[in-house]
Parts: sequence; structure tokens; C-alpha cells
Amino acid sequence: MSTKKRFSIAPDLASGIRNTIQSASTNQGQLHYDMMSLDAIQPDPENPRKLSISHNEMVHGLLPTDPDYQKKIKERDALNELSESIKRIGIRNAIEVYKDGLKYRIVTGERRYWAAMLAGQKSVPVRISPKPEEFNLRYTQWVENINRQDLSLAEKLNNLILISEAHKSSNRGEFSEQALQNLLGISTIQAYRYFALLNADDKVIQLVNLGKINNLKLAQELCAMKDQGARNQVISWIRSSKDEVTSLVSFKESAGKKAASSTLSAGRSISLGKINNAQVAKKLFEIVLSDIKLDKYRHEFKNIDWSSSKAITKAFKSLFKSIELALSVEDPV
Amino acid sequence: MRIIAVVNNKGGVGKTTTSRFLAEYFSIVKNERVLALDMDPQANFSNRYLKMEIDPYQQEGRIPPIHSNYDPSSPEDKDWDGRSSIAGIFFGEMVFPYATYIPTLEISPSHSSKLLLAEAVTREEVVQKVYDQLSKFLALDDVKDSYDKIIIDTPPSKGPVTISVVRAATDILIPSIMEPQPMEGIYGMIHLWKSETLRRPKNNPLNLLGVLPNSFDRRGIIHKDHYDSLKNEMPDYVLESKIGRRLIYAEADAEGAAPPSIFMYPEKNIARQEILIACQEIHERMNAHVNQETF
Repeated sequence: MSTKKRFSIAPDLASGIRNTIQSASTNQGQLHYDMMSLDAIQPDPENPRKLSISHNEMVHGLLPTDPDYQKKIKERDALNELSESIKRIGIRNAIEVYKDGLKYRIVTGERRYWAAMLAGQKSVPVRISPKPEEFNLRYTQWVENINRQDLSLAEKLNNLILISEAHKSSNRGEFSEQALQNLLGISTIQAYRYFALLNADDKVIQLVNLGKINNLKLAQELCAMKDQGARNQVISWIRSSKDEVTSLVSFKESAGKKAASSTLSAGRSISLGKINNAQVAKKLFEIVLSDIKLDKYRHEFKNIDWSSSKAITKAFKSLFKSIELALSVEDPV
Repeated sequence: MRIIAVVNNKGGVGKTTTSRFLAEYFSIVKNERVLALDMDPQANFSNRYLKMEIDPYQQEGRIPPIHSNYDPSSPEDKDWDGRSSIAGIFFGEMVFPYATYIPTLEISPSHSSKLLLAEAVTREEVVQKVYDQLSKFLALDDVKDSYDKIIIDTPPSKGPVTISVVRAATDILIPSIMEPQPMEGIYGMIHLWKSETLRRPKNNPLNLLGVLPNSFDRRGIIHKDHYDSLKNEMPDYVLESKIGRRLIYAEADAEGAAPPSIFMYPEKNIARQEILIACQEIHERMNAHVNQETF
């Protein structure tokens, strides 16, 4: 019995056609790459990562008398390094831009832009995107810059302010610690600290913007100080310090006295004794946990096995850590 | 203004014939103002409306005839040799479309050697210029105000000239024979469509009108099987209409053919009906996409 020959497209060609059609219909406008003249591109003035040196200084050199000379030298060297690599192999990752009036504004890639200019390039590869929604633009810039070691706290704060403003104006709900944590994928404590900084008063913000404080934990501790007298003292001391302040230890030393602190010296701790009755332990646990300041930790202690001494001990250890965390922010200096 | 590019990097699949049907459908049947562009160095599309001449410097190539508006004694024309082709856009020349026997159809013909030169550029910055040149020309107010449809016949390649056409187009149509080799050409073209789609903003899409089965032979099963198979892979992009394999199309292409257009055949003529149905389907597919000002 003979069978009639049937024809069809080769399987690999068929799957190629199917995949191509699918990719085109779902990704329109996602990959617009081009070569663009540097003249047509402009940096975003609100990009959180501000270069410490100006275009003029890049071209004409730095003044050794400049108070920020060291910082600028570092920045210039880093840009020169990038510029050298661009001379050799060009820009490997396109600069992302969007059309803004007659020019194209940078979303990400500002250092590549300046380095290309230093390298004497006339045009650079760009990826052209539609103008991003304000919130997404600020978020992208955060993601792009946050892992850079040289991003200052002031730059991070400015980016955060833009993110929070864009969040509020885009009807995304309340801009809370929780929202910040979910958005940026950071730990609870980091979110808490950033949030404290966002709500800091002008004095703290000024110290951050002056570069006197570049440490998030320190900034948050300063925000949390309740003793206004002590706080003002610390602020004036930081303001008058020549360099960036990284901890309050030297303030305590310079004040000539050990500041009133409930923190014990390193390596020391207090033993809280032993309890033999699990029910008593449970009751004590509940009393402590009922403190309003521990509200946000309560969900962590929902499933304790009260029949296991090991589990109870572990829960107490964890509770003490939370208590220290919750109460330490009120710690007076 | 809609810009329809007829593309396929395989030769002999019916690009020029399809371009001709579309140009004549929109000008004769729909009475729209049409500009035909011949971007193929072989100049067959041009030859159907103009008496192209042999290039004295390149005997196998074709150059446009002297333009009817050319007046060597006029000071305005003193820097012009009287010939104009669409290839001129790549060389900074003015483009003067030629009238045809159809009152609402004009053509800007091919110029073999110039198009071959544009197709052969390799220096990156020149290639980029070739890519954008046709878009710039078609964005001119003079062009946009003068025509309703632009129909572009392309060379059988995926080179710079074809890319410049794809960049300028609002719609592309892929004629193909339903056989294994031309299927590869379809794949090449939808890749080109995909690249262009990924780079275009959402408000200016490149509409893929679909694959038009050409020289379709209903007697065997090879064309039908390949058609079904293709339809299975890209159901929204294969036309229902099929252009059959008919001698009459070759006859209508011959010099001095009478009548000169398939749309001038009697209404009951089967070939005319077949082409009309295909053009109507293409027209409907164009209307299904949002009508847009391209630039």
C-alpha cells in the first residue's frame, strides 16, 4: 500500500518563525539601538550620582587649591581610566536615553558619556527608550547607582527624595517603611534607617549634604536622639569637624567624658538568669512582647513550641535582639 | 500616507508583480495618488512604466529616461542631466517622479549602478546614513502632501537598501512561493521585521501585512501543504488570498501588452478577480492597523 507524500516546513524553520513572531509582538520598542552624536545627548540634572568635577575642570585641569581637590582627582582618574578603555574598545554597553525636547536625556550611563567625551568620541551607542514614568526613572537610577562604592549618602538621599515624591504623585499608595523595603529589596533595618533619614530635620540633612556624614547608621542615630541639648552638641561638633565623621566615639572622647550610654563595652553582656517553668517563661515573653515599641517584631514570634526548652531559649535570644534593636534607637549619647 | 514595502530576500517570488498590482489597484481601482518607488537595481518595476535605457558606463545596468519636464535651455535645469531616480536620495540629488499612463500613478525609477553602490557601502557611518535616507525623503512635506500611497519594490537582499526601505515603511508585505527555499526567505524577512519592530516606538509600528502566496499551483499538494504549515506557525500573518500560476500575468508584463493593466481587463476575467480579491484583502489588513501619520 503506498502512502501519499506530504510536505511541511522543516521543524527548526517552523519553530524559528513561531518564536520570531512571538518575540516581535511582545517586545515592540524594547530594543532601539543607535549611534548618536554626543552633542545630541545631555545628562539628567537630577541624576542622584553627581560628578564632583565639572566639564570645564575635566578639559582644563584641576586647581590644587580647590578644597575638594583630592576627591576630584580621584574622580578624574576614574574617568580617565574609563576613557582609556573607550579609546581602545569603544563603549560596550549602550547609554540609555530618552527623547526630551530637541535632545536626548540620559537615563543611565552618565560616566560613560563623560568618559566618551574625554576620549574624543564624536558619537556613542545608545539605547533609546520611551520617556520613563518619573517613578520608574528614579527607581532605575537608584538600581543603577546603589551598588557603586563611591555613591555618597547625600546622592542616595537625593535619589530617595525623588523616588518618594514620584511614588506619592503616582498614586502607588502610602510611602511607608514597608513600601520602601519591598521596592528596594533591602532589609527591615535598612529601610527603617533610610526612612528616618528621609524624615530627618534640616540640620541633619545639611550635614549629609555637606558630606560630614556619609554613614546611614550614624545619620539615623542622630535623627533618633531625643535629648535636644545633646543632639545640638553633637551636630555642632560634626559641623565643625574637618573631615567626614564616621562614628560618635571620637565625640565622646573629645567631650572628655563617657557619654551616658546603656551600651556595654564590647564582649560584655548581662545574663538574665534561668526559668524552669515553661508557662512562666511564656507569660514573661508575652508581657515583654506587649510593649508597643515591639509591635513590628510581634509577627516573628507567632509559632513558638512552648514544650521545647531549646525552642523557648532560641525565642528569648531572638526577642532580646529585637528589643535591643527597637530600644537602641532611643539610646541617648 | 501609507508606505507599503514589498519585500523578500529570495528572488523570483513575485515582488515586482505584486508591487505592480498594488500600485495599479490603489491608483486605478481606488483612484488614490500613488508613488511607485523602484529600489531594485534590476529595474523591472521601472521598465513597466518607463522606457528605461541602457547605462552607457555599465551595459548590464539601467538608467532612467530623460524626464519630460527637463529643459536643457532652462537655467533652472543647468545642473541637472535630465534623469532622476530614487537612488538619487543616497547621493544628495533631487528626485523628480515621472508620470505614467495612469493619471494618478507616478514612479521614481531605479538606477542600477547607483543602487548597487548604495547597497555595497560598508563603512559604519555611511551605512547608517543609507539606512535613514529613504525615511528622510518620505518625511518631506512635498512628498506627504502629494501622495496617499507609496509602493516600494525592493531588491532580493537584506542589505542597506532593503533596510532603508523597511525603516521608512508603515507596512510590509512578503510575497512568496509556497516551496521550501522561499520559506527561508520568509524567515529572513520576518527577522528583519522583528528587528525593526523592536527598535520602533509603540506609536509608530511597522505593520506586517502578511505573506502573500504567489504562483500558487492548486494541482499538486506541495504548495497547499507548505501554505497550511506556514499558516500553522504564523496564523495571523498568512493571507487567505492566493495568486495562482497563470500565463496571463506574464503576458500582462510584456512590453506593449494590451490592456496594459490587469485592472483594465473585463470584470469577469478570472485573473483580474483573483488579483482584485488579493489587493482588497491587503487593503483591509492595512485598515485593520491604526491609520497613522508615519512621521
